[in-house]
Order: sequence, then C-alpha cells, then structure tokens
Amino acid sequence: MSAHPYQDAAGVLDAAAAGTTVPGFEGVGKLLIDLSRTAPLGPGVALRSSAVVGAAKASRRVTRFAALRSRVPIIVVSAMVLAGVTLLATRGSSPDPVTDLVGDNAPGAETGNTRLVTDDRANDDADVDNAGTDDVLGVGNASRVASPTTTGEVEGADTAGAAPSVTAQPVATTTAEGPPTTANPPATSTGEQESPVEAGNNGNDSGNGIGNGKGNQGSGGSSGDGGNLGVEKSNRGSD
Amino acid sequence: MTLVLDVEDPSVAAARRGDPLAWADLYERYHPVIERYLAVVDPEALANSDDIWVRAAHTLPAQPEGFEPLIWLLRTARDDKIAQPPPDDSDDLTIRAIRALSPIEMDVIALRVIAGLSEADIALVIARPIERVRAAAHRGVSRLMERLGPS
Repeated sequence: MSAHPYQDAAGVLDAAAAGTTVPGFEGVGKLLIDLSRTAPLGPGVALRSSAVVGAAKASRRVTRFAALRSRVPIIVVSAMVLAGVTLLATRGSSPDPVTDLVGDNAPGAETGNTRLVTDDRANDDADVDNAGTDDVLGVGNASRVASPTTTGEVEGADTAGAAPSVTAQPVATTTAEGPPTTANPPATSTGEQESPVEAGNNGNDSGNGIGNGKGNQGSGGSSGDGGNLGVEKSNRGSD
Repeated sequence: MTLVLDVEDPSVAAARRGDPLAWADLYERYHPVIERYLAVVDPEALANSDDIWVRAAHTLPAQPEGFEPLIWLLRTARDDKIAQPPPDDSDDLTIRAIRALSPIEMDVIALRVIAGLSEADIALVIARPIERVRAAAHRGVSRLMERLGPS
C-alpha cells in the first residue's frame, strides 16, 4: 500500500496496462489485464475502405472550404473593385443628359444620349412654337432638331424658301432658351458623327433635326422616321 | 503520452491534405483501440464506429499541430457515445464487472487499460480535471476489488 490510495489505484492500472499485477491486487489486476487483452473486438477491426475513403473525402472538403474561407476577403475586395470599375464605366458611357446640357456639354457630341436630351428640349420648344403659328411647327422642329444653329440655317435654306426664314427664328429662340453652348456644338458634330447619310438628309430637311431627336430617344432606326416627319412638317411650313 | 508532440505525425500531416493512404494508416493504427473502448463502454455505438472517422475529418483542421491522434479520435468517439449506460448482459465476467461501475469510472479504467492513456490524457479525452480522473480511478479499482476480492 502506498501513502496515498490514489497511487494504489494508479499503480494497479499502470501494471495492468503493462500486462502485470501488483502484489495484493492480483484479482483486480488480472481482470484488468483480461480487459485489455480480451475486450471484444467489433466487426470492423479489419480495414474498412468506406470509412477511410469517407474520411479522406471529408478531409478534402474541409480543406477546400478552409482554403476558400481564407480567400474570402480577397474575393470580396475584388468584387468591390470590379463593381466600382463597372459603375465608373457605366457613368462614362451614359452621361447625365441634364448635366451635359447645362455643363460644357462636350460629351454631347460624343454620344447619342446627349443629343437625345437636346432634341427633347428642342421638341418642347417646338411645341411652344407650334402654339404660336402653324408655320412655326415645321420650322420649330427643324430648328430644334438641328438645334445646330449653323446647320439649321443651312438646312432651312435648302428645305424651303418660306420655311428657312421662319426656321431661323426658332433656332435662335431654342438656342437662347436651351443651352446655347450645348446645342450648337453638339448638333454639328452629332449629325456628322452619327450617320453621314442621315446628316445629309437632315441638311436637306429642316424637320430632320426633329427626326434625330426622336430617334435618339428610341433607337437609331427611329431617327429616319423622325427625319421624314421633319420633312413633311417643313413642307407644311413651306406651304 | 502527451497531447502535443514535438513533430506532427506524418500520417496526420498527410491526412490534413486529404490523403486516403494517410487516413488508411490512421485507421489501421487506431480503429482497433477505438472499437475495444466502445465495446466496453458503449457497445451500441460499435455499429456506427466508422462514422467517427468522417467526423474526425471535419475536426482535424481544428487540432493543433503535433497533437496526439488517439486523444483526438477517442474524444470524437466519446462525443458520439450514447448517454445511456451500457447493458449489463454480457457473458464476459470482466465486461460485466466493468459495466457495473459508474460511467466516469468505467471510462477512466477503459481508457487507461485499453487505450493506454495517462491520467492527463484521459482528462483531456473526457474533459474533466485530472483530480476527477484520479478519484474515479481510485473508486473504480476499489469497487472492482470489492466485487472480485483481493486475490
């Protein structure tokens, strides 16, 4: 017997684990040795491949998940950067129409969106003009559309004898109300850039300017329709 | 036996990467011990003892480097142990004597004798202070002696 009873028990267990017994504890010692040697084995003592494969697969999944989790911050940052770049690119390709009109409108000549707004405003102006006189209707459209002071005047002259003079006034009006700076420069550049052929038509017809405006709002194809309208209207004006 | 070894078991290191051969090696080395332990303390869990390895694969990444695999595996096996005491209907006198003990006494003696764990390692497996382990060992051996006699 040792000084502490706990040490006796520990000694008995240690001896049993080593396959021996402690004097005075032979009975329990033998039982424990039997326990260590004869404990019934389960049916799966032999290697079971399913358990090994399952463990290996689970380990790979956990490893992959851990690796993915460690990359999450990088992925999130990358996504944020990508989203930022996309946002900037979107803004660059579709500038705010109002801003363009009020501002330098330099981009106006670059994109159809700018023309779109310009033409809208021109249309509004045309409506006002229409309210005044029938002649203005045709002219107004032309002026607005073309809003190009330079182009419009030339167009008006080409289109019809009577209309041009009328056209010139609306043009001036529209330009004054709207953004003069905006309308003039973009109009010129717009007609040329978008479609030389259409621009030529526009030049012939005062209404063509209107056509551009509507076309920009809807789609490129509608521009032609607008031009026809412009022509017709201008004819009316001439009439 | 200590919890953390100086150098990690090569099979454990490979098992962390999902190497099937490494898992096979661990299985061959430790599964017989696990089954012996379960056969004494929880025979009902023997049928699903393979599941221990799948769960062990999930807990392996959380183990510190250089840990003792047997402690980890036995702890995983214990987590699955059925709470009910094992039935005392074995034909084996030794088994019946052990199952007559309290759960913690049975655990401590089985882990010491069958798995060869030290008191400190047993404390880690059963998540109890080492003093509880020593006391349970003492009570268990004393009760076995009362049942079997000194010789």
